[in-house]
Formats: sequence, structure tokens, C-alpha cells
Amino acid sequence: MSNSIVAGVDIGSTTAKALIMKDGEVLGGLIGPTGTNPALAGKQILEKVIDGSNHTMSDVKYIIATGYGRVSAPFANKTITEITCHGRGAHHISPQIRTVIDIGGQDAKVVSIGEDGKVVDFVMNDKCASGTGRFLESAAQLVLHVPLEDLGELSSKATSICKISSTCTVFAQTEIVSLLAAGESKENVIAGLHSSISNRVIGMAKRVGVKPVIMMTGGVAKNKGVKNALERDLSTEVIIPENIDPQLVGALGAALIASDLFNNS
Amino acid sequence: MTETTIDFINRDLLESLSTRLAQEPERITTAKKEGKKVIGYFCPHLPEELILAADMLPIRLTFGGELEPVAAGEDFLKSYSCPFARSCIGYRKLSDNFYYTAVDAICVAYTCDSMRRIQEYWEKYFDIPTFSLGIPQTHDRFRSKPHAKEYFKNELKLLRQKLAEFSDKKVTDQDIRKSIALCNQIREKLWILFEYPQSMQTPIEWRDVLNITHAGFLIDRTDFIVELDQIIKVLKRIKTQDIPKDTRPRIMIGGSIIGIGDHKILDIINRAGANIVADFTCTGSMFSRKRVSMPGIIGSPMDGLAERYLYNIPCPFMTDLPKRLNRLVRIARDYSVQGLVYYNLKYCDIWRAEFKFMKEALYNQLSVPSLLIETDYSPTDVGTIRTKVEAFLEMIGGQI
Repeated sequence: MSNSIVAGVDIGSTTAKALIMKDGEVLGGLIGPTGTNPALAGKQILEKVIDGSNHTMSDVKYIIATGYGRVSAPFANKTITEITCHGRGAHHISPQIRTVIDIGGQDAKVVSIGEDGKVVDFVMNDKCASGTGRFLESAAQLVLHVPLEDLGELSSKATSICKISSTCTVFAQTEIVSLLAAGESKENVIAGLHSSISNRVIGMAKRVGVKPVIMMTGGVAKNKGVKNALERDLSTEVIIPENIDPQLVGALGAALIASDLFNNS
Repeated sequence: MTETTIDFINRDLLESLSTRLAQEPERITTAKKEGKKVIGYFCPHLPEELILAADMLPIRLTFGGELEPVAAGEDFLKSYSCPFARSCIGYRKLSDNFYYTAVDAICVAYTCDSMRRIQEYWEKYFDIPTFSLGIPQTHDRFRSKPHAKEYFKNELKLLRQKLAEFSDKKVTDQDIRKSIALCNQIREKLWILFEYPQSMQTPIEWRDVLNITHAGFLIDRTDFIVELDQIIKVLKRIKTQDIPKDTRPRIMIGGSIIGIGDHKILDIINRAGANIVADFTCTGSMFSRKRVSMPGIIGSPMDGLAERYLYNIPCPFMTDLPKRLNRLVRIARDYSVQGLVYYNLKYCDIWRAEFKFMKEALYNQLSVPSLLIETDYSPTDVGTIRTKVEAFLEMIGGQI
């Protein structure tokens, strides 16, 4: 058993993530771009993680694929949705978590989990990418001309929060251009964008009921501005995973489920 | 001429029905040449009995799931009207679905804002005579509003008269009684079929019973009874104890109309590994629910029609909520349902508004969870819906 490794591979719209575990311990996890070939991206990131851990592919006994690209991952033993995986991953990090807000590249989900980490209810946005990572990314790149990673920091310097009423990626850009033209600072506009995401996600969260403790996962969890906006609007603390990259929580959940299934088989 | 778009699952069992359906356009064309008139309608508040009693052919025009008719419908209804309503006029505009071109007149029950206008569009732009049916929107189950039924009965009487004039035939109470007997037979036989999937060992899947119901919207009703008898005869010979138990998660589908040919959501649910066993939709089991009670020799059959078509149709626009919730919970219990997938056509406000109540009723009374899917006929969101449905099944299954 000592060389038996299980893996979770989370192929998202923007990034592919892989995490491997052995005897219940995380050996490593990595994030890479999904690019145009999701299956290949998933496989490559998994290989990279395994290489870095001084193991070989043959040590990997069970692989769960998750994320939107899960269906095109022939190397996986089984696929599980990212909703279940994020719930499981968050529960593992902290068993007190009852609500997971996962905002990724093209979708946003709110997952309500029970004491055992199982999903009790969830909501997920429809096909529109409003209020997701893509929304921030396009605003940052196309109209604000700032690196995506700087949004959180910049928003902390805002003197007031601009009102951005649209969560539509395209309409919001038009709105931002008008705000900038009217003399609003970049910082205030960014704070407005974060507020807009927060409103949208809270609207979804209310459909499942927002029970504390709340954890935020996915790429957007790295943006402190969104976290702060959510905390302000929900009047409660939002936890960001500390010892693991928030983008890896789905892959962690997948690896944990892989471990269960392997041990039960 | 249109090929049938009904995709029967058990092709052996339903071969005769399928063949019969494929012949229907030709038969209707011949009947029309011989002077028979064809009447189309959309909503199940409309009693087919009145059309049959006037010696005309009823067709329930409920095709759906296709993109082109929705786009064609946008010439008339706004792009944020439900795709089914847009199809109701779009199919006529495109003229490539036989049934929408075969009708000599249509009957429209005023069941939502879009349907209300569809009548005028058909009349003005396609020169098709139309007959309306008004339905009182509140008529609570304790019958504290007897005037609601009186109003509806008067509407039915007027419709009967209009249809009789259109057909140029005198419609007697005896004709109505005969057509009630015919439609009751259809309802009873369909109900026998819909009850099969209550068991884990069913010789027929819910999806095929839905398919059969849909075929019955199109083909001659007398012939339909012959087909139903044949199907039931075959099913009754099958020893259910020999059928392997179906252990897939048991799903009920509720929400907006499932049109003939609209199988997007059904396919996603099946492909995710679940079994659809029951429904709460007006093109499914609710169409055949409850017979029309026949009056005594001196009573008027119009009374029975008013009673059945006012109080026993599952339209959220017309029916009081407590009654609907009770019905929903009862079906979920009878069919040992493990989850409700609520299929809400985008912009169908009346069904969407009910979801929260339905979700709470099922969860509080039976611990059955619900999943809301808001979508249209386009394939672009199939991936997202699949994720939602799979996550829902993982949640219900509880193994993970």
C-alpha cells in the first residue's frame, strides 16, 4: 500500500488542477492553464505533480476527474461533478463549513453541505458567465488595463464604491468605460466590480440559504476585494483556505473521493 | 410531409402505434378532402369532447424542442417569451410541420399572456378561424366561488355552439355524451400505463408512456383506443416478477410543458444514469388524470365537462396552490420519487414562480430534494445542465 497514490484532477474552463494523496496525506498539487485541449491539460498537470513527488504514473491507483472538462478525461477511473468535490474538499479543510462559494473561470456555484460534508443543496449559474472569473478577467484586460492579480489590492485603495448595475460581462465593460470617462478612479471602479459580483453570488446563495461557516474557493477566492465585498454584504466572515491554494479545493475533494473509492474496492 | 418526431424507446411494443402515427398525415389529408374539418388546440383546459362531438378531428399542437420555430415565432412574440409559446406560432409560420398546416381552425384557452395573443396572430396573419375559451383564474377547491364554474360552463356552451356552426352540424347532448365516453376511455387506458412505473419492475418506461400520450394528441382518437388496447394487452401478458429491478435513482419531472419532440432535459437525465418515473406536467400524466363524470339521464353533460376541465387541469396559472402542492406530494409518494427535476422553460413566469413552494413542500413532507433547470431549446447549455443533474444525482445517491 505504501506506494499507492490517488489523484484528483479538476479540469476547469481556465485552469487544470491536479492533486495527489498518499495514506490520507496530500503529496502535492499544481495548477496549469487548460488551453484548447482540456483532456491533455489534465493529463499533463497530473504527470507534472507525480514527477515532482518522485513517484510514477504506475503508482497512481485511482483517479477522479472533475470540472467541466471531466467528461473528456479518459485517464480517470470515474468522474464526479465539481459541486460534490468542492463540498468534500471544503469539509476536509474545515468540518465546520456549511456553505461553499466557488467562483471559477466561467461559473459560480454555491454549495450547501451537511455535517458529514455531503451536498445538501446547491445552485449554479446558467450558461451566462456573469459574475465569474471571466467577468473580472475581461474587465481587467480589456478596459481597465491592469493585471488580474492586482484587482484585490487596487480595490482596497478605493475611496468610494462605484455602482455597476450590470453583471453581464459585455454590458459591464460599457458601464466601466462610461464611469472612467466621467472621471471615476480605477480603484473605485474595481471596488464596484467586486460589489457587483458579491451581489450576484449572494442572490444565488439565498436560494440555498447562507449558513455559516462560509468558505470561498476557486480562482476568484484569491481576490481579496471580492472576499471583502462578500463579508461586508453578508455581514459574516468568509474563510479562504490557508494551507492549500483555493483553486485546488476541487481537486482535493476529488482525491479524497478517489481515496475512499480505492479503499472500498 | 412531416415524419413523426416521436422517438419511441420500446420499438417492438410500439411498432404498430409508430406505423399508425406515420400514416396520420396521409389519413388526415384524405379525411379533409372528404369534408372533415381539423381543429387544433394547445392547452389541456380545452375539452376535446366538444371538437369530437361536432364530428371534427382534434389535434393538440404541442410540438417543441426545435430551434427554428422559436426563431420564427420572434416575428410575433418578444424574444423573452417562452420558447414553447413562440413555437406555437413559429411552426405555423414555417409551415413545415404537417399538423400546424392541416388545421382548419384553432381553439385557444386563455391560459397565459402569450397564448392569449397567439390566437390573434393565427387569425390575422394566417387567416385561420379561431375560437377562444375563457377560464376563471381563481376557483378554490372548497367551491366558495360557484360563479367561477358557472362562467366556465357558459364559455364551454359558447364554444360548443361555435364549433357546431363551424362544422355545420347540430351537436346534441347525446353527441357530447358519446365523445365523453370516448375520451374517458383514452384517459383510463393512459392512466393504466402511467401507473406501471410506480413499480421498480415495470414492463414500460415512463418515457414511452409520455410518447404514447403525445401520439394520442395527433392520431384519430378511435384508432388510438385500438392501439392502447393492444399495448395494454401485451403488457399484461408480461410477468413483472421476471423483470429485473431498476435500481437507478427515481426522478420526477415537473415544470413547464414538455413538447412533442422536446427531449433535451429527458436525455440529460437518462444519460446521467437516472430513471424518470413520474411527471407533473400538462403534456404528461396530468393530461389523462381524472375522468369526466357522466350525468344521469336528465343531467347535462356540460356539467361534467366544466367540472373536470376547470378543477382537474394542472395549470399553475389557473389552479390554487394548496391543491397543486398536495397533488405533487402525492405523486412523489406514489412513485417513490427520490428527486424532482423542475424543467422550467425560460421566461415561463407562471411555472417559475411556483418552484420555491414545490421545493419546500417536497422537502418538508418527504425529504425529497428538487433541482431547478431553467433553459430553452438551444443546445448551448447542455454541459452546464449535465453538471447540475449529475451533482443532483450524486447528492441523492449519497454514496460519495
